[in-house]
Amino acid sequence: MSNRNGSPLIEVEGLKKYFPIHKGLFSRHVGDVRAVDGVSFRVGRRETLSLVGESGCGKTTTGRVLLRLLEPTAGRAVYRPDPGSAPVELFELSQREMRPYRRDLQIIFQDPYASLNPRITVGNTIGEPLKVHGIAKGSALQDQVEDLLLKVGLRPEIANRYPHEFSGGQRQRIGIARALALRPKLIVCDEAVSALDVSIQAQVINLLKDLQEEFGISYIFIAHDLSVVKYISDHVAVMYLGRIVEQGTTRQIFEDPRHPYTQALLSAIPKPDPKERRRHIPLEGDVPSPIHPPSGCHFHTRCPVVEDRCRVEFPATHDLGDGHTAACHLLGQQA
Amino acid sequence: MTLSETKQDTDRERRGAAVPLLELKDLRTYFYSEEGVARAVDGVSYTLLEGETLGVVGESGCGKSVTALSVMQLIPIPPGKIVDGEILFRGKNLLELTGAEMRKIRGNEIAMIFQEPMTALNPVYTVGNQIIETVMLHQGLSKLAARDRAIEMLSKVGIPSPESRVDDYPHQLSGGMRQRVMIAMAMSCGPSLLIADEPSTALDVTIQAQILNLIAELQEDTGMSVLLITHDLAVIAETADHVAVMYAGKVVEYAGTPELFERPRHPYTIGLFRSLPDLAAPGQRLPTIPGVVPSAFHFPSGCRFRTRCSIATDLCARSEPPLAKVADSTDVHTVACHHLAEAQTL
Amino acid sequence: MTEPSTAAGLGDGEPRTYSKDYWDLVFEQLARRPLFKIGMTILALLYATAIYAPLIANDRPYVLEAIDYRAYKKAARMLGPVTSGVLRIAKQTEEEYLADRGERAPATYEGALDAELSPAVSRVATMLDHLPPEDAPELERFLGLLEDVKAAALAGDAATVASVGDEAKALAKTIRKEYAPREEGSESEEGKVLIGVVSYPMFEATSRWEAFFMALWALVLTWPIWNFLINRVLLRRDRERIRRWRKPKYFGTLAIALVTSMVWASLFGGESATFDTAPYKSALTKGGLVATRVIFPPLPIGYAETHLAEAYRPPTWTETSIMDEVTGHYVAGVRKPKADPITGFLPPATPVEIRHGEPGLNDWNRHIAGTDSLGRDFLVRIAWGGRVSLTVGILSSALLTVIGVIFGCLAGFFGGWVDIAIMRFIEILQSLPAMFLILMAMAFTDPNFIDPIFAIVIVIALIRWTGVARLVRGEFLRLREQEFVVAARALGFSSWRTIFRHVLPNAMSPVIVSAAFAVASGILTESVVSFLGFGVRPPQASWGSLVNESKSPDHWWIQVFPGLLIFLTVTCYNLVGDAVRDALDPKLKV
Repeated sequence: MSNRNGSPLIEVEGLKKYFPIHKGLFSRHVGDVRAVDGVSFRVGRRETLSLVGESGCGKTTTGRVLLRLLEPTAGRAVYRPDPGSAPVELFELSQREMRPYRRDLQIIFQDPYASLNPRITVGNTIGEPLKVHGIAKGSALQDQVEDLLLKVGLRPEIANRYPHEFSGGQRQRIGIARALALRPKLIVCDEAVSALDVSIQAQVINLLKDLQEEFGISYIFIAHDLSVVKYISDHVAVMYLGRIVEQGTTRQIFEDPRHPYTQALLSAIPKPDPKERRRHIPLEGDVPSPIHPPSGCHFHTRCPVVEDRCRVEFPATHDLGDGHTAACHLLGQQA
Repeated sequence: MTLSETKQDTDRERRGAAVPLLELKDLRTYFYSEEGVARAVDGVSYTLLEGETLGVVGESGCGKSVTALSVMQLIPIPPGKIVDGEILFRGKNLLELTGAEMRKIRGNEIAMIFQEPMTALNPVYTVGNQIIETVMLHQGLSKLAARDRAIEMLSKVGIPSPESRVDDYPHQLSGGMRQRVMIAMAMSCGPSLLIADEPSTALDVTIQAQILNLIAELQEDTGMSVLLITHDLAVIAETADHVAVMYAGKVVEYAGTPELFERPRHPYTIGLFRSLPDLAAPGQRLPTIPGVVPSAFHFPSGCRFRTRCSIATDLCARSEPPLAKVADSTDVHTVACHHLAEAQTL
Repeated sequence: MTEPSTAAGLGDGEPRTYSKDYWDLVFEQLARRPLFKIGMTILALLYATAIYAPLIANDRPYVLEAIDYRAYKKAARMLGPVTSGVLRIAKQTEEEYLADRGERAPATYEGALDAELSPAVSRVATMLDHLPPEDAPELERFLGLLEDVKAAALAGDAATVASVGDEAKALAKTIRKEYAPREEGSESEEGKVLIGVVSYPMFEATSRWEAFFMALWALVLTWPIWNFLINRVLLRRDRERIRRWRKPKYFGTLAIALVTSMVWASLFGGESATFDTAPYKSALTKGGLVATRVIFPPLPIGYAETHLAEAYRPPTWTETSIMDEVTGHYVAGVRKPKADPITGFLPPATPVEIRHGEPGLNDWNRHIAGTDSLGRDFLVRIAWGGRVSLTVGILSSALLTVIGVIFGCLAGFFGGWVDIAIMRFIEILQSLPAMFLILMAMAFTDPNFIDPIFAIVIVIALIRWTGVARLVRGEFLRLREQEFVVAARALGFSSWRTIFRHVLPNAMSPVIVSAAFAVASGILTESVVSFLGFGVRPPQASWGSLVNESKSPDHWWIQVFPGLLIFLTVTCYNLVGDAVRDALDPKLKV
């Protein structure tokens, strides 16, 4: 179905992204912000992987590094355009060599008000990638643009309008049309529905699913809203301070979370059911800074079941079966 | 009995008895600009009793924040204007007060916390200073006494080592911390009403839980009322006793929380619930409300929701449905819809 | 609820077919600001006076139909000598000439003949200009004879040379006698009646570039009218068509102005001669020229024309300005000379010479703004001085904006060491005192080598570009992280495309505002520089240098009038800049 184990679309291993900190008169390199500190995951074809976590966990950075919008500090990303084709090491390409692959790897953004150039008409925004990559010209281009607008549920007549006339949800659709123009195989949705109202969110989520059906697109869905994640994903990776603490299918994560952080996260989500007003134990404290992450297991400062070992030693990733993994010392002691 | 059921009984008792703490009667706040008149709040009425939490829920553009700002009279007077209606706080109409009288109430009896903790605090003053300022102004304490109170408040809102934190600047604190400081500021004068405008929306989910917890605890301690404004139905479910659902400047449904979630009546409310991913089965399409929220300059005639409602008729275009009591309900439940019966079939 | 489609309408339910683009929104905002309109109108008028100054304040008449008696008489007198000159060469053979010629003489025999022939041609032409057509044949025959002499000389025919030469000589004498001009008003029948020669001295002294700007500004000033007509009649108010016609309108205006200037050049020659005082007025006054028809401009006094007897005269509409025609003394006020109480001696003064075409001595409009130290009309100098000041303002602003944008783009987009290098350079430049740098630079420029106006423009631009660069760099830094720019990279657009199509247009808003303020600052800087004497050199004037003419409080008009104009211009630019800044709505920006 998704070939993720045999021939995944994207396979990421040990991805790291550090931002150097320069201080002083001569901008000495004094340390690093470890935004992403060793992340590995797979995305199958026609599949949605969600990266979830709170602010500062590195999920957005991961998405951007994957698309080479930021340069990776370490790690590799293997891209197989088709099941049988040769793998491409994305991080070993120069920016120039990346260009043809950019058609396959696209991104849509969180802020609908900043993702469209206000000086260019909607039609030009959507049609520009087609023109730049030489896919279509003139009236053929027009046709494709109108086609794309219809696909995302907008009227084709709006191609001559400017973005300031549209609402957030409509702009988000335009952004999706633009990303779709090059018929990508993977779209990174960087908090793409977080800024939308609930009813509009639902419309856009439906749209994304439809497009996945029709075009066989895979999504890396970056979000912090777990209810949306539950609805739309096939696989989920939970991130904390630059590392993946638990990974698995949606079912595994939501019904059988093993990592303490995942458990805390799930219990912190308010449920729209007044009868279920449990006094859950929220996590104490704040997310630590990525400049000075805690030693050992990053989560130990807030973990409700922390042990001495956790403060010193970094936990290995334990395989819990069926592709469900988690990085916690306590799991090694169980089963 | 669950917590919510016990609370319901006490509510019913209380409701029969008291003068409501806050009562909005047909409030209208308009904004005047070159593009026309934006009727942001167009005839909103609801009541809030002592010690209870009222959740006002709606999407962006429905007027819920403007209503709260109108209560505090923080609307910028041009271009905005409170055109009509009454805001009764303990029976006194706030709209009739002078500026000086209103200032005595703001921060003192009615306090407000905002959505963006990043920008709600003044970056050039320490957090302690900001609390001290409020306390000295409203309670007339000396600077030393005010500082003690500030430290007390910071510890009450759960900030660790408050004696040292009191001299920190806002940028030295995280988002969750700043929100706690804002709550401390709001609570420092012991208000009887706390207006919380999307207090947790900009925060991470674990911090969100902490903050909502905190507000609930403080409410239990002090017996104050909370007017909670949000677009998140789940938050409402966890915290509110009653809910007012707003759309396009008007209240379209008002009910006790359990009743609203069990049996919503208005087509908009029903649609909202349906589009929640929580309540959808994965793999199925999310039902949606077609269309977009109308612009405040051009609200549709008659029932404002009719352009997106699948059971709208000519009657809906001609006349605006009034908020009317629902017959078969256990508590106060009002809805503004002409076709309640059909709505049930949605 | 029924299964809805994902198709979304446009919310408002009102079908609109025209979508406002960036410029529509900007113009809309600007139109709502009355201060902007007032400021622009005043500026347009100020620029009009600067551009049309040669047309309004000039000592050359528009049209002159005059008889130049002196030139005519001289031409007639010279016919004999030029004949002798030709014959002198013609009587030598070619070999003799070449052997004998001096160093500076023409190299060829034919060249020598032509050199002697051409003055004859011009003298005859002068005479022909002044004569009616029926008197022409004799003169033409004379010329023909000289041509024959030349031909014969080249052919080596000495005999013909001699005979035709004698004939020419005789004819010259006859012409001189018979073609003497009949004086005006004389009763005798002798001599010829001369007719006036029509010339357009002012137009001929106006270059084609001036004509270009005059035509352009005429179109600009009448823009509201013809724009309205085009939009109404031609485009029938269709906003889409109006938008498409924007560029054609601008280019059309430029094209029309260009064509006009070319036509002008072909009609009138097109060389500019702004500094010299033209001889027309003095010739007319002294009688060398007798005008049958002359039209002077409204301010018929020249830019550099001096009336030494009228030095530092107050504006002629004030009482203290009245002078006596005969003695040349002031009649009233402090300037009235006091006779020595004992001897009664009154210091003599030169009476003022009223030249042809000028208003009378005590007419209110003779010197509306007074005169300067050399008796030059101050209003005329202010008008011409405005050209300098306004030009420097605009050009320096344009140049510094261009330089600033380039550096800002480089620093902002590429970042890294490019950014660091440029920023350090900017900081060094900004730490130097600007005014001293400018004065120093101007002190070293040689006005013979480079026109002070261009020197000032370049110096100001090279020192003041840093502010704009910082602005642009800031905008770039902000925009680089905006999602639509990241999207451009993700879509595989090249860096150039991203900069020019996506980032730069959105970065220009603060630059436009800064450019408006830079013009005001440029005008002020130039005024200061010229006031201190480092700017334009006399007789060229700018508003600043005019203020420098006198520091005495008696001569209030010298400080007040140019100062007022500087104030007015700078204020208007500031108003316009403010309005533009307000109008560039955040809604239009990302």
